[in-house]
Amino acid sequence: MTTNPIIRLESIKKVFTTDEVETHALADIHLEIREGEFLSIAGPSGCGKSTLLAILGLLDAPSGGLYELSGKPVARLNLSDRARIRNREIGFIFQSFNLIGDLTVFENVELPLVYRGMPGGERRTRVMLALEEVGMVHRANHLPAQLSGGQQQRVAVARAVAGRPTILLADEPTGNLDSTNGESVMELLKGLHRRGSTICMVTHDSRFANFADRTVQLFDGRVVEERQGGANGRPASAALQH
Amino acid sequence: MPGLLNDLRHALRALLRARGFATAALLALALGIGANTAVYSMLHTMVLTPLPFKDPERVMSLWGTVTANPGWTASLSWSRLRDWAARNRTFEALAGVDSVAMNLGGLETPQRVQVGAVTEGFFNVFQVRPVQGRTLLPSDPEGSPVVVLSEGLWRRVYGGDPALLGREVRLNGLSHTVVGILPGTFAFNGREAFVPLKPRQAEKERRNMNFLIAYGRLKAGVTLAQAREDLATVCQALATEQEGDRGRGALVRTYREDRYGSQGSVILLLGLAAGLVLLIACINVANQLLARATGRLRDMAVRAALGGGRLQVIAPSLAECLLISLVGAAAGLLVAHLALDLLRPLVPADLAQTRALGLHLPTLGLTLATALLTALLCGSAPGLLLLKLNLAQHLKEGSKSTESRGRRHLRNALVVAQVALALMLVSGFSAAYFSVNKLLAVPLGVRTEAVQAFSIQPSPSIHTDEASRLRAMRNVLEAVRSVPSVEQAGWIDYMPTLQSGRNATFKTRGREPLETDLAEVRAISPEALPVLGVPLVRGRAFEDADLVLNPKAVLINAGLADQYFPGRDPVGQEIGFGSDWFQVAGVVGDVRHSGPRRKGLLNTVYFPAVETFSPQSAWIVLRSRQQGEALLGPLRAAVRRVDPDLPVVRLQSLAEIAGRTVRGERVITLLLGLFAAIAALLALLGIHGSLSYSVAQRTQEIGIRMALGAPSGRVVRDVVREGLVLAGLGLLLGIAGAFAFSGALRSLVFEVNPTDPLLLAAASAVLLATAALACLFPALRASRVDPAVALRAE
Repeated sequence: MTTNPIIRLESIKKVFTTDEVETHALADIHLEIREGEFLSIAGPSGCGKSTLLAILGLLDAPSGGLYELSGKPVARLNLSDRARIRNREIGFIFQSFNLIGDLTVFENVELPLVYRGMPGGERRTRVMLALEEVGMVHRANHLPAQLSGGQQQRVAVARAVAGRPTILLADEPTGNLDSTNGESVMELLKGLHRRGSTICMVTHDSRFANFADRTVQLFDGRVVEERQGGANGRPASAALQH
Repeated sequence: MPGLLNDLRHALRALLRARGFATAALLALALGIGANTAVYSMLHTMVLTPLPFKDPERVMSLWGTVTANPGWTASLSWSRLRDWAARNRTFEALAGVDSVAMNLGGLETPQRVQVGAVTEGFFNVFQVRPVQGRTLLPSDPEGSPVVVLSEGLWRRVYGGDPALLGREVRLNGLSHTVVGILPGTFAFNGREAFVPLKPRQAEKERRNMNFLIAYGRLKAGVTLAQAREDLATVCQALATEQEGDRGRGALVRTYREDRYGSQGSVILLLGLAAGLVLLIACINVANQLLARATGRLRDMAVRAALGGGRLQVIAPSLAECLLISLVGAAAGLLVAHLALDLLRPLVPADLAQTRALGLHLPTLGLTLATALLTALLCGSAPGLLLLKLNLAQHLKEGSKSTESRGRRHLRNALVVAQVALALMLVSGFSAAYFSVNKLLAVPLGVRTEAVQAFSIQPSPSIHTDEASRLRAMRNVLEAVRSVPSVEQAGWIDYMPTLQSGRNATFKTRGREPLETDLAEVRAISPEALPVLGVPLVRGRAFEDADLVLNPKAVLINAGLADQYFPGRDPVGQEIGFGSDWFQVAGVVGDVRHSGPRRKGLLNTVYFPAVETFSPQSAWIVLRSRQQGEALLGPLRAAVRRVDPDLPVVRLQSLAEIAGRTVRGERVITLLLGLFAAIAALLALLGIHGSLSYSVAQRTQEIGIRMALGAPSGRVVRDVVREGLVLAGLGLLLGIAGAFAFSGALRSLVFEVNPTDPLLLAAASAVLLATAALACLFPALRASRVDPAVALRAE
């Protein structure tokens, strides 16, 4: 693990205002994620995990505070700059896979590369490599509806890594999977991490939180605990052996 | 480009999976684009096509006016045209045309052709370059036996024989040398041949014997205003010199405005109507796309999360819409092709000959542009969703593509707009429909049932003088009467309801003559009015005793009698033309000579057809037990016995002839009816689609209501009420729109107020019933929601 922070959050807060009612989803969040790190964000439902991940992924903007990605402030960027950074720097893995039903597996994985304006030949190579990495080459021409949940999430992982992003953000990646498929996907993430990917994962499942190098515990929108290793304080290597 | 192709490929795949949506959207756009393409084709032929002669903007139509009767225009007499031509300073050429039908003989089957008998200088006005030979020249003397043929006639009758130039053809039995062939694009009011005019002595002498349609070519650099001023000065000077010119003026209009000006309002109306149909179609498709996009919000959010720009995120919707629009445009061309058959009667024949009504390249270009604009308009609708797209929210597990209040309002507003626009078209159609009915109900003054007619012209070569011609007509009439099935037959020089004939000023004893004392003058055989069913109101009809060389008896119509002999018995009174006086023998019913719409001149003086009033051609009118083809054969045989060169081209019923006077209105009504039906159908689909979507979105809510004990009748009522409220709002807006649309209608409808409250109420009722029908199916579907299933889904 290197010591360079890819992500740095300082005093981040997020307030939702509806009908004159203010809800403080996040308050005074300080966080750094270093290159090559596997970070897990844990906490009970409604504690702000997904809100934090949305801010990290530039899907949402914080109400206050500083957010630096690769050393550059990104909290106040306009929509198109945020889209460009999402496309080049961030890979998303969602709980509900979020594959586009009208597109084939290949086209789903290709999509961020198309948005990047990558030439067709290079796109194809990258897509096939990514699918090979998750073991889904044989399903390249299938539609998502023709795949199992586990297979869909593998495709989602392939889509996230195809663009070789700076960081992978995974929001409950096993939440919709049975334990076998869940573990298989976690193995996949661990493999990526081993090969150098930086991963930030939200999960409420302590089994999978243990895969991380470091865990941040949220409660009522605040970081209440931060420790090395998984949810139980065990190092990632131990979790792998589990 | 590869991105666009990819998007189109994906769109095609998606549309094939959503066939219901694709079919409905395709149908809507095909009808909308097709209607516009057809109307644009008409516009292209009638307005944008240059007229087929040199500097057409310098060619003017000239009419005589009567100061005391504003708005009334008349053709010119020979001598007045001659004076105008000699005295004006703004025209480089002035000429007149007398349109006549002639028999083209020397053929296996004699033909009847429409001929322009023109004064010298006609081709100086219409500078047309002949495809062969020359045109008529000022050096061709009056009545000289030369003819210029149209290319159409040359090809149709002579097979385009290049050796025809210089040869003789027989027109009305007289040899004419063919000196030139005019290009096919020059179709002057349907004339197929041009000969030098040979006016009769009376036509030359009488100052107000108006029979020439006049045209002029402005000198270079002269404006229309200058020409008007110039001719006004000429008329003022003539009024001081000629008694017959007192109170007379001139009207100068551009040739295009004069010939086709009235068509402008037709094109405007149909263009507006077609535009409204396309607008409704666009709104309909946009609404469907919006609903479809709402269902795919998560896909849009995913695309945005993966770094897609705004355009890239809505690209799938745009591509779908582009595909539907392009295929819709192709289908629209087919719709337009079919619609052109309906529009064809609205295009004057000569313009259609210059450029046939069809799908020309500019039309195709406009269709493509319309399709692209449509795609942009409809396809951008989903872009509205992006404005408030909450990425984090839509990417969450369990998030549903539910509709926000704003989007629901937008969807409802689009439905309201469709209903409003549909009401404008339905009310417009209603006005046109009632207008046609009113026109048909106008009494023409003649009996149209069981009366048939054909036109005839004895050959002047055989019948060189008027007596001989009259004899020939009487012989034809006798031949017609000899046909066993013919019960009664007579002849008249101009067919009532079809055409105005000649008119002349008249005077009565003891009354200062006015310029407005004008009457249509008709020559008839004694049987003509009984055959036509024109009743004798007073006095007597013509008798054989009236058929003398210089008859003194005339018949007048009741309107003239009431106006000029009030409180007196008109029978026995005298009426004068020039220096001749005639005695009124009888009074007959009024006849609308120019059809029901144009009031025209109702004053009519009927002369017995004798040598002095014998026309060159006439209509044989008859009543017979046989009709159409069954009668045509025996008639032809009978006429051939009298004159083998005399063609009997076509036998028409008077109902058919009278019907032709409202043909344009009928076509417009039919088209508006089609547009209104399409609009109502699209509005129905719009309400149905919107309510169906609403019910689908609210399935769980409906399930909860039913679980709490709401009866299914209540559910039905709620859904129907939702639809009817939207329809009601649309109708209110539509009434305001109908007032705006009525401006385009007002000049075309006859004695109907397009904003008549009763008419608007009827149109609204039709649409409200349509809306109720559209609400019914979604309402029934809502009432069949299973609460258990709906709540399980929750």
